[in-house]
Amino acid sequence: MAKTMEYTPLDEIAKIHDTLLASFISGKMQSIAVRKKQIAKVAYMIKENTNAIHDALFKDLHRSPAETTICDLSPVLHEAVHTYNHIDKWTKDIKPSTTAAYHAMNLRVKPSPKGVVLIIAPFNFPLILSLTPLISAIAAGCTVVLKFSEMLPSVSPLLQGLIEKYLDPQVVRVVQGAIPETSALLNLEWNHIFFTGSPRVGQIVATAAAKFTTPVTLELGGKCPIIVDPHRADYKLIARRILWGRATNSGQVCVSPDYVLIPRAHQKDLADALRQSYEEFWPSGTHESASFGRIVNPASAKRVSGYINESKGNILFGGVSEPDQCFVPLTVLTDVAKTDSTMQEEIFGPVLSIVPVDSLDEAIDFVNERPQPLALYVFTRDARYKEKVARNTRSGAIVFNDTMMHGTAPGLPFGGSGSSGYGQYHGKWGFDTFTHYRASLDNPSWTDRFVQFRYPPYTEWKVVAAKAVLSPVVLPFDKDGKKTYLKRLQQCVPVLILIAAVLYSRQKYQARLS
Amino acid sequence: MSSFPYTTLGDIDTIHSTLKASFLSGKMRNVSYRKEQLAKLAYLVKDNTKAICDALYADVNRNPTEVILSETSIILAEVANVYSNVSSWAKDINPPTGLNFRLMKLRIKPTPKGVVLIIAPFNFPLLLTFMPLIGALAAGCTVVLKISEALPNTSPLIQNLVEKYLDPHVVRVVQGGIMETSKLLQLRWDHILFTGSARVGHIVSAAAAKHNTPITLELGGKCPVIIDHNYPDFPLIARRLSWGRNLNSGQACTAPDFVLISRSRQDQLIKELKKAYEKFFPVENNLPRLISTDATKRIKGYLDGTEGEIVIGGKTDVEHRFISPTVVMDVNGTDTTMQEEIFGPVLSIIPVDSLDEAIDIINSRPQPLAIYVFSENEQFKEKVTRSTRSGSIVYNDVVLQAGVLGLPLGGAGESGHGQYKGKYGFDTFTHFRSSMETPRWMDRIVAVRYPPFTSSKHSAAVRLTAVSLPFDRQGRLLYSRRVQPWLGFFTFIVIGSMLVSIYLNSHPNAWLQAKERFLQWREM
Repeated sequence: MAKTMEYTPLDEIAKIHDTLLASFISGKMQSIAVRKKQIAKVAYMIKENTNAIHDALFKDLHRSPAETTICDLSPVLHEAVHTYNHIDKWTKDIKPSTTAAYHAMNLRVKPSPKGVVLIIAPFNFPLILSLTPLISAIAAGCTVVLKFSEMLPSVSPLLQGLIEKYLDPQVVRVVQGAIPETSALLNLEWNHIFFTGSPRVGQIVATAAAKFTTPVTLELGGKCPIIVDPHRADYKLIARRILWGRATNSGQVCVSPDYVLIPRAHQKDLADALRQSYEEFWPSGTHESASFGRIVNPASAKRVSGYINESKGNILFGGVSEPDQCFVPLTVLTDVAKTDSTMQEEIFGPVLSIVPVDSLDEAIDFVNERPQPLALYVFTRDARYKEKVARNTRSGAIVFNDTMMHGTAPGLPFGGSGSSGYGQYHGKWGFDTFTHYRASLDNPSWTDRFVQFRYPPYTEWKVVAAKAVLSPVVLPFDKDGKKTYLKRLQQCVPVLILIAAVLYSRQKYQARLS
Repeated sequence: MSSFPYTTLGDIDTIHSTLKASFLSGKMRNVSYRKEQLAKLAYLVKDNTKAICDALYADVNRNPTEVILSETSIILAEVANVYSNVSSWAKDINPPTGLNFRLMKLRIKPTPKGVVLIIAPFNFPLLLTFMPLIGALAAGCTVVLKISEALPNTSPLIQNLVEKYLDPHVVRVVQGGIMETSKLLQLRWDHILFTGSARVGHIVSAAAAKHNTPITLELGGKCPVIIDHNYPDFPLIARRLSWGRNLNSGQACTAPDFVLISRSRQDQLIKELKKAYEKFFPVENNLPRLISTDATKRIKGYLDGTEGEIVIGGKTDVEHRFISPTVVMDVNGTDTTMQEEIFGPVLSIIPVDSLDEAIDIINSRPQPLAIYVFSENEQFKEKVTRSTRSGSIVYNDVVLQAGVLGLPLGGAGESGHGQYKGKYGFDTFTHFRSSMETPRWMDRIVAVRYPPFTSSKHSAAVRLTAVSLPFDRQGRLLYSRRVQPWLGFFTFIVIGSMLVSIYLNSHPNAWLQAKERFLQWREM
């Protein structure tokens, strides 16, 4: 870990921005073929360097290749293929539906690239959290600066080297560095900033963006709760899925389950199942296992082990950390109080707290009293239970009977709500994030004959004409918001026509028979 | 010096907590309740159009026709549209997905963001308050409306009407100036939609950043007009420009601010503008007033300092907040009229030598809310569209895109971000919450994800998540993939003709019989 990487010189950062702005203005990214080529190169960059990426991630985070394949590499490739296959459709002008009065005006909504954008990626999933938004930004037609984490001495330089080798330097550039470099980036005017990281830094980014009224996407974290319904619960399954979620990347995942809310009487059932799964997954403990990662640096490991040491909960397993070796064992705490040390901030480490509650309502209130989480996990087999939790809580995502899987499911948007951030990406949602939907219309000259009333001087007849042409003559609802009878009748018209047609043809048929 | 009562600071806290509690009670999760509130909003406007017009006439001397044309009728059309569509917008979305996830019940649930704040300006007090409100109500949010303190008749009227028509647990009005707004901005909102100046926009964004609150900023900017020198119908340009520039005495964020025209055609444009101005404004004093003496002074300052030539109008009356419709020609890019958004009835004309020069002028300035292009040449339009950025781009007309049903309203770059109107407004106030469910039996398939990770599990993971790339290194679709869409068709043809030939072999007369049947049918 002694090897440190080279940071981008501060005076170069503004130059990189200017180069990308000039190449954006030159209009080269207007071509869909150019965007496709860059997306293809991102995919081949991953595909041809899989082993090097595996090695670097094992060095920096002790992460096993299977985990990297599932969570980091294959989602990026899927994203590239999905985007490549749909980009032609997404970039087409949209023809909005409108009323008769505006039909002649050729209304269009043109998906236009926002411009030069900044993507700030964290350390925990260095590929999926930087390259997925990158693919969306390229698809939208933006030019991009990527800021990688300074905490990955092997991965970040590797990715920089690969990007410089594979991608067009007029389209994508990498900036390496820590706080001074990030501040220098934030002093520049971007057309969008896409930030993934902690809420504290998120505020700094949003405040910096406010200076230029730059739109921002914030992908933050939060403590993701699990609610367990004891009715007909399959604890073995629940334990497997929870432990997998909590242990992946040593708990350093923004959607990692953080604590469990379960009725007091059933805490023991879950605890027993968790212990059983633990022994199955890591037969000789997490320290010796090659299937268990490390915390990114000693300082973070110290922070996480501090939560465990100060906790008043009972340690079910785990507990003894070696912060200097970046190691915190997978730890489960039971009988954790709501005010416990582990319940203050997002843990971002392999520690799971079980908080016993007395009822579902108490669990829902507990979730609602705290900042909105990025994901909420519910284990139940009862559809009404699901509905109740979904309707009475807010969160970035809600997943039933599993943890974390929504992060890689194609078709679902990914993003937080409230304190866990705002703005979404993946697939079309990512394309939309980096796209400005530019309204457009073309009003031919002959329409002036029909809309003379818009021009001054205003006289009485112009009021009447304006009302008649522009607003609905009869509102389709009454004052209580019920549909009016006229509107209901109107909806029946197609059916009535169909019935009439059937009757008519029957009559004809009978006439022919006779 | 408030001429009507402001909301007290203590009340602001109470209003926020009431609306938060009523949001959490789940009342607005019910789509039919949202529709009821939307309908009431429509009748609020419809039943009181006359009172609204009177109040605006008293405040800023605005003509009732203009109010109906640019505010009330647009709101009514919008409500009718949103009312009819909100049920389908609020439904869970079933997104297309990959093979691995097909059985996992993927759903996207449109969920209201929560308690939102809408800050509206003075210039179109109904349109810019109620259009966002329609989006927020449709999404299922509870809403605080902060309306302008500069309209002593209209603002209290809006407050009374909102209190009379809408549920006080869903919509509340806050009246006040800087102090009340600062108080509002200290609270935690789930979304803030702000319409106003860039200066205040910065303050609002910085306040929102403290709570990580998402915002929509509808700011202004100097909207340019580009005229193709081959355009055949200059009287039309003159009509539309003089209408758009002087609507509400130029106090519209989408109003055309300056014109870029080839030097040789400038005189012709001025001639036509003069004709149009004479026809449209026979009695100058009928025009709406500016909002304040300060605003009038500011614009008078632009006119006093300009190096261009004032060819139409130019009369100013600070005391009565009046500026006559004015056109300034031979303006250069550094003129006093070219510094900030004018927000008054002054149109500057900048002669240029080429289209490229016009585009460079636009690109060297902040991104405007709208660009207007007068041209009948498709290549000309395409060139302007591709080489500039703006909130919207309108060909052969000005201003009215803001009112057109179906188009989003919103800026880009310095003119703001985020959009509303129609589905775009619904989306602004909605969080699209992802949801999925892994069935129990699937553990057999997803077992590769569980440790201990053996090398066989790794290769299973690789197999399960394998992706074959459909493109080559240059981003060209592979030949095999190009053939693929046709493959099904060819298989269909081959198998189909095989079946037909087998059938015909076993029924040698089938062909003749079919022919006879067809002839019989035709004679019928």
